[in-house]
Amino acid sequence: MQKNHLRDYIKNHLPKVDKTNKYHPVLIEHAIEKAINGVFTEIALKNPHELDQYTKEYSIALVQDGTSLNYTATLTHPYIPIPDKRNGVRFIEAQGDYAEILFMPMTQKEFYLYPNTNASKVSDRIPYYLDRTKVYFYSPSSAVTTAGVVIHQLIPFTVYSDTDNVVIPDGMDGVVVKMALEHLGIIQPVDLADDNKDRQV
Amino acid sequence: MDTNALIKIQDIVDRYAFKRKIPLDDWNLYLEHATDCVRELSIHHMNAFRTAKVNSVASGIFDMPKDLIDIISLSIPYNGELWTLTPKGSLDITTMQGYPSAEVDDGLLFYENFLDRELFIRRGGSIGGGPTFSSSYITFDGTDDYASIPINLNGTYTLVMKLNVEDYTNQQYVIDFRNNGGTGYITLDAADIGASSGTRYVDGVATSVVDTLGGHYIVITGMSVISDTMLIGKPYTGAQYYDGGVDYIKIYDYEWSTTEITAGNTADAAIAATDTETLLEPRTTDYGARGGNNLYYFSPNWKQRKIYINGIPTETVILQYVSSGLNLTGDSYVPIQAQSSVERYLNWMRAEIDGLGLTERRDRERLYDKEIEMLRRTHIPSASEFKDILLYLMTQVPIR
Repeated sequence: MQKNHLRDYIKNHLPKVDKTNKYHPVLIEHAIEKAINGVFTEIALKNPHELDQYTKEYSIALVQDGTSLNYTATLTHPYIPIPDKRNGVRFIEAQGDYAEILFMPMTQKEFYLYPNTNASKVSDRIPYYLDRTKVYFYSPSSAVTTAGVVIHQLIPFTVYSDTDNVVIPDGMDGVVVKMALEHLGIIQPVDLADDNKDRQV
Repeated sequence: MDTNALIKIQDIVDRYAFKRKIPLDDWNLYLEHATDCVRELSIHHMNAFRTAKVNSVASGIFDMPKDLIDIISLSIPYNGELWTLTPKGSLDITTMQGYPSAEVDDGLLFYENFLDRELFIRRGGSIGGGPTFSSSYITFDGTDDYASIPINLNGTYTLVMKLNVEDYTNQQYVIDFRNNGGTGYITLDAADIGASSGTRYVDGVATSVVDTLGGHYIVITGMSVISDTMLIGKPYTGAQYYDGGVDYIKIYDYEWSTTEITAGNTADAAIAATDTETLLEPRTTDYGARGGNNLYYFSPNWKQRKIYINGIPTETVILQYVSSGLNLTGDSYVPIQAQSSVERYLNWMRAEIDGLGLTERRDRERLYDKEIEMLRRTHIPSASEFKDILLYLMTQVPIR
């Protein structure tokens, strides 16, 4: 569904009285985002590889960290946190036709131990770990450092453009709408507030 | 995907992870276990060895390759053969600086002294008719005796030989190189030593006359030879067999000077006087000399990971060694038959990673052992391979 359509759909289900603009579009979007993130986390626990279907591609250049073997790629957008090593970046590939090169996710601890392993001698397997805003690579080949990488990332709902098509996990559309409305439902419309109630002076 | 007999370690792990739905998250962990397994297999089960060309330096010391676990041999490529150096526990480093050039390359390409029939055959020679080996001579009966030995010559050479002439009237072929389309021969006919080309010297004098029986020291310089087989005592076609003895034959790759010819004659006379071979040729002259004693040694220093060489000039030597099986840069390849073993090993390790019960872990360990057993079967040498191994061990001929 297109992003703005989903937002309007939610808005139309909210109480009509909104004099103080409590249901600002940004607020609605955040509610939808929370709902979708919850769905993603559920999927991650049950069937993590299904998340690969909901990613968006970004081509990013690599930057060398001084003269070390470490390179970084700065993410274009934040990602949705997922409880496994891949986190919100579900897949990384080399820009161009380098099918034999695979990028392997790691924890930060593994990443720092990695140079001392036998595995680090293998040329076409590149380890990485994900920080908040960057992906850290260890000793990528020159082909990769030159061409850059393509990152398949789960991005938050708020990051999409209005006309972007947002893919909601199979059969979870209703759940997302319901959860979003529940998040928004705790905010009462102002006109329904009990203004006649006795107040302490 | 690799379709040949070798597979990359990482590809084995790819296949393993693919078949068992292992997430990418754990891929490097399994690769690490796979490399451990390959190293174990290389050391203990797969007879994996590597060959490295190493340039020996003037100091005679070079570093061991980093993946070297044990040395199989160190040798010098020479005339299509590998001449192995003798391992020694220790070397006197003070004598290692520089090499006596006269001993290193005296131009001697071929040397056969017919000391012993078994030795001659071991060096690749064959005999026909039944010449006798006695008193360091090979003696031909002039009827059907001959000997032949593989050789690789193409150029102009100096031939040095000692003959024991028993008949100089009939035409006889002493040496014939013309087998398989080669050129060059030496005859004895009507009191004359004949050669297809070159200058002839008999007993140190520029002459071709041989008109007395007994020992004669023959040198032929500038003789053109192209040959892969040297026939001794018969022509390549016909029946003009040589009647007499041959003490030794030497072939040099340069044209001897008259000084050398005279000196050689003097040395030969001295030998004849004492009737012993030991003075004929210094034992250490050249690793290319057939049957020559090899005094070129190497000695490993395991603590410093260095190999010391003594007695050879700066040139390329071939090092064969047992490898750890892992390349320290780039890709490491594994024989495809080891794939199952590596996968079984990973399965066993996976049981430990996943914290499975002891029974399950033992089951998987047993399956791994079975695969190892299968792998070993592919490396049991056949009878002919055993023969090659024994022959290889006899490459050095320390006696003579």
